[in-house]
Amino acid sequence: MDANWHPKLGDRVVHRRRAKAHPLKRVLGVFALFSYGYGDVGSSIYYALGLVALIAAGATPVVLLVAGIFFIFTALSYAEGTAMIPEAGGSASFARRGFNDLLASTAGWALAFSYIVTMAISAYAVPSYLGYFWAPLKESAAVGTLAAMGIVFFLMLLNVVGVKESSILNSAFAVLDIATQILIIVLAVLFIFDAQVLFQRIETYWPSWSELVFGVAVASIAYTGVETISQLSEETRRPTVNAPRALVLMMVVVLILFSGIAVAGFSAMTPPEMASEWARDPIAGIAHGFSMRIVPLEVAAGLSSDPGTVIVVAALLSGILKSVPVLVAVLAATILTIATNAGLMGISRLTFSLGRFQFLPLALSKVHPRFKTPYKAIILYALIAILLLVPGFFVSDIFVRLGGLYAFGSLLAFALAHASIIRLRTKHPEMPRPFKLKGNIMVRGHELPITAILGLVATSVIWIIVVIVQPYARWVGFGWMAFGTVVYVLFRRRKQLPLTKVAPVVKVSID
Amino acid sequence: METKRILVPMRGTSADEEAIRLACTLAQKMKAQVYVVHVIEVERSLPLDAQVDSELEKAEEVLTRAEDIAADAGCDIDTDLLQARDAGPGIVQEAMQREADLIVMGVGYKKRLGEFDLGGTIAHVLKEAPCQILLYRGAASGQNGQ
Repeated sequence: MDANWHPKLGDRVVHRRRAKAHPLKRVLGVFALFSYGYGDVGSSIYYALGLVALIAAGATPVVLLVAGIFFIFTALSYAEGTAMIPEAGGSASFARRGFNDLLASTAGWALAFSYIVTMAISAYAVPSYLGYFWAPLKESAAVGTLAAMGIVFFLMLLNVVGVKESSILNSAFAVLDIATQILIIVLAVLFIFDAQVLFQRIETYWPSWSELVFGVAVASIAYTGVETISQLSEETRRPTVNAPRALVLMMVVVLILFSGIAVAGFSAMTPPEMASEWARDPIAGIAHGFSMRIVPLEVAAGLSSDPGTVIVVAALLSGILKSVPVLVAVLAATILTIATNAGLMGISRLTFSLGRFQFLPLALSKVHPRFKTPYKAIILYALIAILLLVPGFFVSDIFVRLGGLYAFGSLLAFALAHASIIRLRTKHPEMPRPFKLKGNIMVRGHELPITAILGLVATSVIWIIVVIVQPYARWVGFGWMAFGTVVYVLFRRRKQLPLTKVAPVVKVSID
Repeated sequence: METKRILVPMRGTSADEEAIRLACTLAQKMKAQVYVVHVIEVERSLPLDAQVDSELEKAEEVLTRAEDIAADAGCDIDTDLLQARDAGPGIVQEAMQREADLIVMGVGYKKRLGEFDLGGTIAHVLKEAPCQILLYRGAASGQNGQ
């Protein structure tokens, strides 16, 4: 036997020993788990920068940094929670153990909302990048919106029929994605970075306080992925060790890449340029900025005085500069489409988990008799995502509105995750914590983690501000949560289950 | 090389049934143990441990058929049911964990775009499995597209 053999992405197996249930076999490793999480975060880099620039203008790098710090708090809370409770459901699972089913259901519905909005935003950004090949996709709101809806609809059909997802292809895209971003950062740092210009742009286009705070809220969209890792903890080998490691690894990689891309973006264009023409496709804007600002012959002449070397270097640089926009357009469109698809599959899995917790009818996860896919859940969520894109035909600020909706759902889920981690420290101090947050304060004999407390305060305050300053997010978000609560209450009453107590997990066929 | 454990992945095709007979014959000669597995492939839109009874029933039928064939051949086999995202990695991992010395697989005579096609699962196992592999392919005549 080859001792070096390790399971790769997709190598997950559950044993069912002939008609009797068998515990789940966990085989995902740190890198497989990281790749899945990064798949989510890596895609958000293609729209988050422009979305944040639309709101926070010159303060975009600062806002991303602040959101990055909050992301560290969130990732750490998820690391403790996932290591302690390695089951799908993320913040809903934590709240179920920490508080009760009513709060857990709130977290679950908030999480589901953020999944749907992420699908809508990812799909909405695809046509802009493809606009490099056919301009109306970027320039016409109607064509772009229609194309985004078409992408969601197409993915809905694909998922209902059921397609094999190639894990090798996914990993290849993740590697290509990281390589492209590193190339962009290197080109920016070598040829167009100027610290003075960068600080001048930040200072000149500094936003108002409310824009700054809303910017921080929306910037959290750049750091999706913690939920994905948590959701896959059930399929992870030694989840108590590997899940926290994958979360920390993702945290480090994402923060480095985002900082680099933010610097590259503000070196390549001004905040108004990024917030207008390139809002939906900021990475394409950076690639375009390179071709405008870098003159290959000048760069080559600066590197060497030998005419032959100058010609070769200039031709090489010119080739790179010409290929980067094409590479970015194709890569971004592909990665964003994969991310939309991952969102659809993620929310289908989340629905199944919430159904098992008895928060909503498990019938929603019923599989198609022929295709064996949860077609009802897939169709429902895809149609909701398409519905969220409808304003794209009528209003110009749909991107900001979607950002607000994401902030509403994700911050609520994250705040409940932090609160649950704190509550679990007092309610179940005896539970094994393979990854225990450091930096604790003693309150009435209990160790409470400072990062979770700071995370809770920050996410709660920002969520409240989003609710106050964003009427669209407020009404659509509360509408969704009210709908979810009504479904929960009606379902629990029909099943004669208590609203606030923890109901047992059901394991039944979804045939 | 000594062969003590033989793994037979089974989907339920006639080629698989022949593969079990072949594995039983080899096992009797080598005094080896035969393990038969059936892999249910679970869509990524569902958790890996989702229970789909119709798939389980189908899998039970396939493995019961394997037991019947082995009993006819006078061979005692172990059967197991797996759920995986893809059958190929599931089979390879099972072979690793059971420390199988040999995998015996049946392959149908399938054509794609006019060319003989092994299929993704068998190709993956051939590429990734660390142990010996024996492929059984039935006669091509009268099996077009089977």
